[in-house]
Amino acid sequence: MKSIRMIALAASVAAASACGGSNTTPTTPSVTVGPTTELFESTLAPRGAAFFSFTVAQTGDTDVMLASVSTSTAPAATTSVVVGLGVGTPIGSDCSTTKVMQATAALTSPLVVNMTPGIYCVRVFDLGNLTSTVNFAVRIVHT
Amino acid sequence: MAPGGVLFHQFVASAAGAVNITLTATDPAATLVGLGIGIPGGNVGSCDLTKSVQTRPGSAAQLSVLVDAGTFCAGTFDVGGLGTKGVLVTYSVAHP
Repeated sequence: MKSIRMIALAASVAAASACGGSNTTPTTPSVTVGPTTELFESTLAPRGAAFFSFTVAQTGDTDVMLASVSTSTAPAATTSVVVGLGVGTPIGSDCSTTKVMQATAALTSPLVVNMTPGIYCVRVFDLGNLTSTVNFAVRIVHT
Repeated sequence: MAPGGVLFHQFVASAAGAVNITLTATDPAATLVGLGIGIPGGNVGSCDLTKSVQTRPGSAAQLSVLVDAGTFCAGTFDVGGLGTKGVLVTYSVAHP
């Protein structure tokens, strides 16, 4: 008797498959967004500030690296001057920062922030240490 | 490398760690040149430098920095003393 029930069940499953599985619930395919790298290059004047907006498509960490600060475009003009570095959200014509720190140029990311999808910004600003305009480059890696 | 010139190349660090750059030889020998590392960009030629030194060739790394994983650039540049024929440079970049 047991073997007969098993055969009946197998026949039933085979029949359902043959009908295309119409009882299954459709699911929305998920899309994994890979990290995006953006480069923010600009100049910073004494007592000045500059910001860059970017869009996070998926929840994840955003790494912000102040990679370069130089006093001119000559290769030997790198400087270790301390400037302000922050992340936040764009507001009007500026960036309202929610996390800030002091930073010198380095190839590691001092600012790592977990972000949900949305529009954010990175702000670089003088802390009073600049005596002339500098060039800077910030690398932003986000999801 | 031509007088007044720069010579950079890109490399990819597969993980965070130390990068050591060694200027191993120049021709003419013992030429003073600049050695630098940074990220690809447009502020200084093709490489926005983070750190640079002036050095002559040697066997020990003249420039060492910590990096995150990612794409970086390193190379040499004239610091002002090259003759009209320029200089042949050989350097190595050890990275994760």
